[in-house]
Amino acid sequence: MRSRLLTIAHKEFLHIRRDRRSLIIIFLLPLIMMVLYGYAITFDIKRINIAVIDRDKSPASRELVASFTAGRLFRVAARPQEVGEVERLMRRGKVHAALVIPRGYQKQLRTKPTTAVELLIDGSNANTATIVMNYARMLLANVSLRTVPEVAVPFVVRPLVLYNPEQRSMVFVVPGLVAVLIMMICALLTSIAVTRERETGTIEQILVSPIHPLELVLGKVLPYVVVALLDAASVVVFSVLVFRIPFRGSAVLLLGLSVVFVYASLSLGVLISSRAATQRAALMGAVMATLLPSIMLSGFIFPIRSMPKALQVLTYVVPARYYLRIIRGIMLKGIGGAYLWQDVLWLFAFGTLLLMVSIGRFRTRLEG
Amino acid sequence: MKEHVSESVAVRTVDLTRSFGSFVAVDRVSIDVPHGEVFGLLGANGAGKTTTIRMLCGLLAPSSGHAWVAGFDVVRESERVKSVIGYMSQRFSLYDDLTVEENLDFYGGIYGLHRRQLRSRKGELMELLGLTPHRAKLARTIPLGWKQRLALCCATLHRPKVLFLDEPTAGVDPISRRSFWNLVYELAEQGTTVFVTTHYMDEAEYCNRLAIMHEGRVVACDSPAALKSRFALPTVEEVFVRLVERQFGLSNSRPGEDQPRA
Amino acid sequence: MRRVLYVIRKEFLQVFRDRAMVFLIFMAPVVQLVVLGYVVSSEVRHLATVVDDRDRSAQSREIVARLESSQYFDVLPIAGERTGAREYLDRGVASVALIIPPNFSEDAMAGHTPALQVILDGQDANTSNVALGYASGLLNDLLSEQVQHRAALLGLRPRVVEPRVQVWFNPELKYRNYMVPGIVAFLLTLTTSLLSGMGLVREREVGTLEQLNVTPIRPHELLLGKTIPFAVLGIAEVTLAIAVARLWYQIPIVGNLGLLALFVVVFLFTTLGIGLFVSSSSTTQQQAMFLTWFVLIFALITSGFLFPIENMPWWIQALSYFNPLRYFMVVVREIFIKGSGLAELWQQGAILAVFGLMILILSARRFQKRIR
Repeated sequence: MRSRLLTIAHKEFLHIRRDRRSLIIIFLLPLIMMVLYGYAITFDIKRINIAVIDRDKSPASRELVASFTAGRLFRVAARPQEVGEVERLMRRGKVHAALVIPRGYQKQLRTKPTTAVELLIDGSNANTATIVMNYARMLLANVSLRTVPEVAVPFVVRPLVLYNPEQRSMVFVVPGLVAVLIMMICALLTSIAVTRERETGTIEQILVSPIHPLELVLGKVLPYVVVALLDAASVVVFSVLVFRIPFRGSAVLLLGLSVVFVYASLSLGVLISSRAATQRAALMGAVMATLLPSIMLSGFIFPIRSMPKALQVLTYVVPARYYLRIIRGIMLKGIGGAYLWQDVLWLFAFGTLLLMVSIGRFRTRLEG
Repeated sequence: MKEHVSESVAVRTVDLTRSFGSFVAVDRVSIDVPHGEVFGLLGANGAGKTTTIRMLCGLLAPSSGHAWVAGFDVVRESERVKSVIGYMSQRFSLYDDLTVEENLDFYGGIYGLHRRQLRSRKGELMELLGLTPHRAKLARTIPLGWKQRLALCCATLHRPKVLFLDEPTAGVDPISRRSFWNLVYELAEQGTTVFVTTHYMDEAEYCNRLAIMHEGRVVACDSPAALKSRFALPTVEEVFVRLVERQFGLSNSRPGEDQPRA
Repeated sequence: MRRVLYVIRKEFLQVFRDRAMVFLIFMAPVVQLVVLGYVVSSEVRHLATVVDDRDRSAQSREIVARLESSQYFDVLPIAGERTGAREYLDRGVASVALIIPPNFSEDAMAGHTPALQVILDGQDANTSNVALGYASGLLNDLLSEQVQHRAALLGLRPRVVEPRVQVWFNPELKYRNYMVPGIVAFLLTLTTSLLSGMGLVREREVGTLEQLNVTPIRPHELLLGKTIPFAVLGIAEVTLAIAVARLWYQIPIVGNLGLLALFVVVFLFTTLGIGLFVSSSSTTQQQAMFLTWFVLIFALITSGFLFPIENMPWWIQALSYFNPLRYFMVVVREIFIKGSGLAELWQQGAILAVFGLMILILSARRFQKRIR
């Protein structure tokens, strides 16, 4: 049994090695993805272009504009003459907001308790719009505070950011990338590899030999386990050495728990290949069933807690969800098994269940 | 002058050569095949049969030499060659997720048959080849022998002047092979020139004329009867073995594929 | 030209015969749109929060009450004394902790300016940024009120500058209105490039390409025959996706659908061109898939779909100009949300047309060379 399994695995290794182009992509893709994801995924909004219409042109109005630009978030990109111009600028995406200071602003500020300024916001990206609104409100509140310097500031807010004090998106994204990569290689590659044998007819050749479907499946997936773990390890090492992402926990523990995740992902891949008749279908199925959920529903980029309840429930069947907690916990927080055993258990149960289902299906499909 | 001469024969090659790197797969092959003949190319695996046929069909460019099919130069007029030939490869290469009839409709369309023309020709061929009861089945579900017939059907829909068959009966049982050859003869009687490669010696006997290839070269070319009497041997098989032994010593056929896939 | 029709018919027959494909082409986008729509447009809310109130004064209780009443923070009960807020963050149970120091209210009254500490789980820079923003805003309001209150006690009157806010284009500030059109654009890119990328490679792998090569079919006829079906499927899919966006998510479509259709067609040149390129550059479907995936990831990340391009490092911004999806993303969003017309979008249109034609022509030439 063992030697037959190794024979299949060896054959699969040869396939992988012969296919030079795929091989390059398998090892180059992770690095490129890491650089791209690591640098391109930035949530913090650094600069927002605004337009200013100053109809007062007084020292007070200039001071207000100065206080808007002092914080570095806002940059005055245009000084149009009229509001109609603002709309055109927004439609072209040149500015996200406009501050309109009315004529008589300075005079009102001295004589009246409240003075109004207009804030026009492009609402299309609600996130940016909210940030603009909150930030502008805060700036204006400070202007008010400065009119009563006699009152001492009652308290200050001192933030402390744990695990990722510099707030680098990369720290968050790169460990998640390991999960996506493992999922991609294990589920996508295996499902394609199995379907390919079916499509080119070689599977019949193998089936007439005295091999058990389980051996065939295991033999086929074994090389991908090795590839996936190598890929994952290279991403982790690279991210620690080059991107200076902290590694606070135990590497051995991470490796051990990664194997459990690999097991779950492979089971998913095998399940897909037991259903798909063509490589095209397997590919589409794998993308829909593994990759997108791993990216979208695992907490990789979008926090699970912010999703609607129904989707939060759905995330429980996304294996990457558990693995993300594991890898981030170990790398960034340095926590150990005591905190993670539940996630490991889920992953294991998930993998076993899928494998059972797919082996049953696989056999009937081959015979049918 | 050559082109004028070439019109009188269905296939003519002059010093046709193809090499892959330093390996010469087809070495200065010159043959003439008159119209209406069933011409066989006999040789062991790797002798250069498939490479020759692929050059004649315009799938592979010759390294040197010339070839004409139905009067057209295979290099300069490859598009015109394609409209007058049919080709059936050793590997089943039709769409197995289409039905028998859909495959026929597709190739009929590709060869530019008109609807009415296609319908009558299709019916006629399916009847001839016994495919009618299978017309609505997916190609993947019919047995290999029927797949070969379907492939033959697709290759002859447009009444090609020359039909190229590259080991058409590989892996098919003797009964099916015999009926397949009956069909080939029927087509030849209708005026189609058939150019077939094979390594089955019994099939070689069915041909009007034979070229025996070894290591890229044609070592003999004549009718089976003439070949047998020239060597005073009872079967083509023995002629073949004798020729190979004489040229290159004992059993010298090279292992491996017929030719590298491009 | 009749030959093209036969190839098209064959492609459709093959696609519709494969039930899995039909499902993937028509159902999967709907499911994705519905799921992704909620995921990518989810705003940061209901942050699990623990409060370590060491002051236990009326004022500290006021702070906790304000946190509890906001929809952004879910205040968890803290178990036992001195478990330490840190532990909650370590276990991942909470992502925000507020520590109110002892004697907070007394110090504040005495003008010592005590510090309220907000501890954030910084793994996800986005969530922690937003959380800090909410917390600061909330505490800032409290601060202003106290200042006003005290100023009043001293007989002073602070001047207030009040913003009159007008939100244009998306006045309810629905993030979804921005993200769902983005998904529509992305799905179109995904399906059409994947499908057309696999098409020719499959024929090569199975051997049918060779059979086609001995027929009188011309390369350009094969090319058209293998592209048009996917263009049609792509258009059908976009239509479906727009219907879902409109009917399920109730996304208003301010702009002209005809204009959108025009841009979709122009953009299809690009995605189908990429598919052809992939198809003619690979020998196995596996390779084709990798190549497509590779291109798609780049296109996705640098398109501005999920992450604003303006925040990326300059070299990625420079790269993004070579990403056609970047322009298409703008077009789809602008037409949906702002109702922009050709007057605003002609630049994107011109760039997309140039890109599309270039990619398509280059790929087509490569294709014609490679099918032999």
